[in-house]
Parts: sequence; C-alpha cells; structure tokens
Amino acid sequence: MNRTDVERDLLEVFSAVLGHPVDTTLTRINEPGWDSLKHMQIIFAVEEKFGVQFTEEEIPGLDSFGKFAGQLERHHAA
Amino acid sequence: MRHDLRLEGYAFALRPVTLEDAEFIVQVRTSDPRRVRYLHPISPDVQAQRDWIATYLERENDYYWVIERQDTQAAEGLIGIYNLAPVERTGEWGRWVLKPGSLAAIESAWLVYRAGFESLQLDSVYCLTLANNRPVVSFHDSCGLQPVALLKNHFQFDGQQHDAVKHLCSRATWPAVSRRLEPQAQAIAKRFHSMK
Repeated sequence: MNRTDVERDLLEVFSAVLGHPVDTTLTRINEPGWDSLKHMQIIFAVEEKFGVQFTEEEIPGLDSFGKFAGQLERHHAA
Repeated sequence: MRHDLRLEGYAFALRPVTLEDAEFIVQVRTSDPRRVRYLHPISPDVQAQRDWIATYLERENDYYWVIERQDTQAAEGLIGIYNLAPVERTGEWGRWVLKPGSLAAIESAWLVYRAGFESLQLDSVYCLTLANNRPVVSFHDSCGLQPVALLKNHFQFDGQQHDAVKHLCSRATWPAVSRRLEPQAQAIAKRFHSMK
C-alpha cells in the first residue's frame, strides 16, 4: 500500500467518523469536532481499516492527519 | 464533602480527594497551558490548595474525586459533582481535568454519570463548559447530551466574563449516553490489558 492509497483510505475513515468531508490538512486543533470521544473512535476505526494496533503511548500524539499517515507507514514498514 | 463514594470502571476508578492530593491538584491544574486557559485559575501554592480541600471536605453536596488508573493507582485527573440540589435531584459535574496524554476522558465521564444516576440517584446531571472550549463542548455533544442553554457571561475570571454552554443529561437519556461511552471505555481498558 503506497502513501496515496493510505491517505485515500484514511480520509474515508476520518470523514466517516467526523461526519463531513476532510482533507489532508486536518488537525485536532483546526477540527472542533475532533474531541476525546471522536479521537478514540478514529483510533479504533483506523486500526480496523489498516490492520494495525497503536500503542497506548502513540494514541495521544496522533493529533493530525499527517501523523496518522506517518505512523501507518511506520507500522507497515515494521 | 467528606465522603467514601468510590466508583470503579474498566481501567479507571474515581476515589475521593483527600488533603494529600493537594500537590497533584496544583500540578494537574496549572502545568498544561492548553488546558489552563479553560480552567478557573488556582494558586500554585500547595498549602493554599490544602486549605481549599479542607474547606471542601466540610461542604455538603459536593463530591470531588481523583481519577486514577486501576492497575497502577496512578492519578490521571480530577472530576466532581457539586451544586447538588437534593429536592430537585439534580447536580452539576465538572472540575474535569486530565494529565496530558491520559486516555481517561471517556471512562471518567461515564463514571461520573454513574455516580450521579446510580449512586446519588439524581434525576438529571448537567455541566457548564466555557463556550470557547470547543473540544469539550464537542465531547458533550458527541456523548449525545443536549445543549440546553447558552449562558451569557456566566463565568468570570482573569478579569473577563465568559459565556457557558449548558449540557443536560436526564435519567431518561442516560442509558443512551452510557451506550456511547461504555463500549469505548471497555475497548480502551482491553487495550491496556493487551499491551501488558
């Protein structure tokens, strides 16, 4: 899975959880609907979609679309 | 209020605040600038906080808890129910603050509602959030709570007045709110256990 595929699927997950279309500039700061409940819903949905499991230490720091994409690349490379 | 109401969930528990928590309270309420701007300012002096707790312990209708991890007993945050109106059977929950990086938000909210509806037998629990604290306003919306009022200039601190959003959870809506929170709390706890 290349970066483009990852980003496409990731955008689908974010849009589904947040309930509206998003783009790759999405961050927790600029998206008011990305609250603590939605954060965990995003985490679990991304894990299911991509077959990965983020660690307890990784979860709080995943606060932007870019960080999710980067972390997924690292998980898939490992 | 001096009480012994303890709530245990899947990964976290609420235990009564004691005088010995003064240092933690000062630390968690003053150390993260992103959160401090949404909180009533407190003195950084631990003895002043100890004095505040001593006064709180004598005050009726006020429950204040430390949120702690059950597996480590590490304190991760604070939460409370206060302004209890015994006749109306209602109360306000708040004083909610977590250490940066804590995953206790969902379960601590679920536990405080359980305290309100199951332990204290309230008919409704409400919360007042700074209107510009959009992540927390959104959290209450995501829980399925109804925003019932915008209270103009409700909070006063730092020499300014601030609007508040009032969200209400009634006994009738609590089961639906619980259905949104409890499965997420369970999933987070399962994560903690699987990572050991």
